[in-house]
Amino acid sequence: MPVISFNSKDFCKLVGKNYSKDKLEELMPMIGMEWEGSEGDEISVEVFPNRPDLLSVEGLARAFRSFTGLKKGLINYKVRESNYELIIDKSVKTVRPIVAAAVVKGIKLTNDSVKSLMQLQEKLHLTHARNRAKAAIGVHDLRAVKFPVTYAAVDPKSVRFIPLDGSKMMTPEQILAEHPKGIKYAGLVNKFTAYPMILGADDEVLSFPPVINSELTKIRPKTKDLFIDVTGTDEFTVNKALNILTTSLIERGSKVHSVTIHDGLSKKKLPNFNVELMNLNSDYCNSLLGTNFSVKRVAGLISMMGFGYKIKENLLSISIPCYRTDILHPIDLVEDVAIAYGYMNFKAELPSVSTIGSELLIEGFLNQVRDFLIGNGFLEVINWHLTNEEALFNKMNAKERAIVKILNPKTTDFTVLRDYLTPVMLGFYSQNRHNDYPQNVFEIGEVMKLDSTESTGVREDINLCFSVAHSSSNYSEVKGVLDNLMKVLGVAYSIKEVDNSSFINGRVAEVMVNKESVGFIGELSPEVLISHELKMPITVCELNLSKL
Amino acid sequence: MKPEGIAERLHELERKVLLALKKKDKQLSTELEESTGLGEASINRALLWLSSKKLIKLKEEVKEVVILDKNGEEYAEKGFPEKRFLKIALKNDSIQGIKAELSKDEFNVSIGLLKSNGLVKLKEGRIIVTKKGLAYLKTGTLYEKILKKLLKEPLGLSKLSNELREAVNELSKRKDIIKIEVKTCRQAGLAKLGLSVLPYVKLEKLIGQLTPQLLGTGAYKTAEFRKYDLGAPTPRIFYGKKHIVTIIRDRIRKIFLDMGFKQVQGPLLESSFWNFDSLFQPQDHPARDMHDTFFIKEPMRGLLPNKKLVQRVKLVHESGWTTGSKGWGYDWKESVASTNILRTHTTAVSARTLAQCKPKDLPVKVFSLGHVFRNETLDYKHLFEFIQVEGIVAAPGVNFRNLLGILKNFFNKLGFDEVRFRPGYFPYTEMSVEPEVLHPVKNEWMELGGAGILRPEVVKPLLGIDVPVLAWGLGLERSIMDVFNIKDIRAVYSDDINFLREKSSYTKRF
Repeated sequence: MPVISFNSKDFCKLVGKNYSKDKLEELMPMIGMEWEGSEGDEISVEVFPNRPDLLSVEGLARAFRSFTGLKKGLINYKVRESNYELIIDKSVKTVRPIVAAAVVKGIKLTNDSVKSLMQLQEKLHLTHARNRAKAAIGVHDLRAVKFPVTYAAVDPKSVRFIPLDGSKMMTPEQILAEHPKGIKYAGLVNKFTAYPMILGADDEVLSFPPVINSELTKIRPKTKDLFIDVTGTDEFTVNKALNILTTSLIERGSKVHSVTIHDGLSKKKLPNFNVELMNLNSDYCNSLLGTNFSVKRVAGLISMMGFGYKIKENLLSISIPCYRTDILHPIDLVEDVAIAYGYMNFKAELPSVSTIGSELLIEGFLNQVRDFLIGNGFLEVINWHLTNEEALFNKMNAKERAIVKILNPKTTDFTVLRDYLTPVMLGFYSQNRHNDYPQNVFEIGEVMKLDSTESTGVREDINLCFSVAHSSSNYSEVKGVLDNLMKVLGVAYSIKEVDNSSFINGRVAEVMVNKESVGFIGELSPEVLISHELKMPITVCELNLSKL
Repeated sequence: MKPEGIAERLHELERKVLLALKKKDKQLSTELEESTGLGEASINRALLWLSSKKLIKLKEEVKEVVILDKNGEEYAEKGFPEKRFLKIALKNDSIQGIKAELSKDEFNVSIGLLKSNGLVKLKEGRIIVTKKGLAYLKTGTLYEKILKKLLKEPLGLSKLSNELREAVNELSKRKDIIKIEVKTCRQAGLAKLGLSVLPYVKLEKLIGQLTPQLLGTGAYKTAEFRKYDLGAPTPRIFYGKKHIVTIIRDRIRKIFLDMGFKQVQGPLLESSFWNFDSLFQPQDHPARDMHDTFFIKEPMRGLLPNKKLVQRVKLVHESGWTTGSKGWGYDWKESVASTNILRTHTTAVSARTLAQCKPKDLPVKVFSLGHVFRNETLDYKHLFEFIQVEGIVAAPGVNFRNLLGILKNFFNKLGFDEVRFRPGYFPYTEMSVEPEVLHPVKNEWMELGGAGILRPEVVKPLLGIDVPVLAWGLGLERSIMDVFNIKDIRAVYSDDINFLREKSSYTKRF
């Protein structure tokens, strides 16, 4: 989850009231901002990923001001009409079709405001915009922008500009190959033959979204007015990013001016701060929360979360602020009502639902097997389900067979899923080769095998592996345990000698129940022991408990 | 303990050695063997015990000793091969005949030795024993004398006569007859405490181990029992026991069973459909990223469930279906939903369970417990496999206060008296809750698990109707670490057998 850091004095100034740090630490978690820590005046909070509007100190202050009742209800953000224009060229339709823009005037660049703007842009890119895939924001000094601005896709070799904080002219193609930002975001554009570009009226490059801006429009200490572009693949994401960014700037006293977007067919003015309406029935709210709130009470609570409302009988028509992205269903409003009421104020009460508990039948069976083995002196161990081919095949002196493989393993040690337990148990023995013997151990766990009759293509069985390791351990010792286990379970079995290259010839057998093999028992071959750096004879028995 | 008490608890071996030392202080262990008639192992045991009780002082001395090797043992029993050669040659003088009765090595060694010493002669393929040879056969050699001695006990090299030492030298040149080893010799002397204990040491036969014979013959009636040193360390016994994870697993299962929940299960290898799509997680959600989730290369895809359910899930993602939701507004793809993964949470099992329920089955209270997987690098805070437990209550009319009520009771049963709740966020619940419990020992609030009411976009496609479904879950490992005071999460799945053997696995906490 994203972490936002800010200065507590700046925060209080934005809220409009002074709070001690202790008070903030107490109140913020109640709105769903998790306190991460503080150092001096610097505070860090964790924000839930469904609330990108809280990714700035301005957004946090706005929510806090409303929640604490200083200024409840919907904020009516205004867009000033103006003649700035942005033209969408049809070349960009198949590349990165969506664009939104705004002009913001009268910004005051202080340490806090610059830091917050950069932080908001970065965190929006990372979370809301899915690492710039769905939306990317460019912020420019308005003075360097010549209108009308054009959004077009151009040949990567045809234009040149100095990338932000750079010193030499580069083509977009060179940027993707050489510039650190270009290398990082190349994957978002390099599949196209033409790259998206925001160009001034004089055809100068303002930015190369979603990669980098031009040095031309860089923000400088004297910058007063901004031109902001947001480009992307998803209109909702793009427009919300612009709304979140521009309303944050309004919170600091700036004015937002419209930009008219032309695409040859239609025109629209952005940003669009219009509220969206959603109905909330107070009965629905009460039945979900287990409360008895009047419709007015619900209205009062929802307005603490920055919403507007109109009451019609027990129905509320809720105005959703233009910066909220997370209201999909009335239940999302109910949650905000609950948060406003305070989770600690709800009286916890058990439901009057009467049911009978029951465990899976297999649990009792497994515990009986466990108890038997523990009674026989075996220690329970738990190994990883993930292992590697080396362990399953080479180290077992076994031929390769089809197994379940991981597509994106993080390390070479864990690349496949075990299809039986013995190899991972030998891994365990290998780790403990310098510890005291006897080492008599067992594991009960899932194993996975390819099986096209299963809906996932994989059958999961529960296997048991028990094994003895000491200087005189042998087949007959383990078979004695197997005999008794089968007696306890009431299962008749027989032994069928087999060939298995992991074991000593003539000392390995399959365990047969009703003419079907349910496992094996055998003395591991010296080659297998030595490949695990073991100098102790080991005999194992492995059974598929799902078949018993 | 008083000297008398110490004396009463001495083992028979200890008493014998102490009394031997009374006769002559400062003896080598070999001398003690002679004076007590006890074997080497018994003497050594007695010396170590007495020394650990500070009754004697032990001095250790290193010396070279001669012992029998493989061939030496055989020759000591059957005689040297050259002698056997002579005996055979007297009966059957053909080379072939002799070869038949000796090993190739023995034959070769013997014939060389016998010829060079003039004990046999070779004539037309026959062996003739000389007069010297006959005499040699009748006399015992120095070599035989040495083997005989060695058969009884090792010989200290420094104590041998010059003659014997030369013979040992010669023998050591022949293959595998004798070995010279460096051995530690102990010299024992009485310590102050030993001297004070000695007057109370009696040699009379005390009963050590009570035996069937003693009971049968009634001999125990007239004998005295030796008192034990009751606190003495005992040999290590390796025992079997349950893994700490199994213990906590069972305890948590019991809590759910006590609360009237039915256990259900699902596969570890799951399709994305059940793990994500059925839980209304959009197909571009970061949790579905390669960085967080293990995807399966083989078999890459699974089958989707019935068409009706797939269609509902598709519509709910795209436009909210009939749930009253706006949906996510994107083009939902079956090809993404059918990819196989290792399940990242047990909520996948809850989704499968709801899909199997019909409205008439309500109310339903179920829980599941099992392994889940995250594509993490193993470190002190992260595991790539761990165990989650999750419960759901699906019943018309249940509400948020009921969720808090269940959580409170659940955490009470887990040993936490104080529980409080904070807003949380999970993609598939709304209200989402982060429960916090007051740690009974540390007296600090700690987050434990997550909870919420499943979104209508999750419930309605699965169940067919929109019913409140209360859900909560937690990872087991944090509880295990807390209960057993484990600092590094990897230790929960330690592959160190000493840890598994020694770690206490009992808790009174819940």
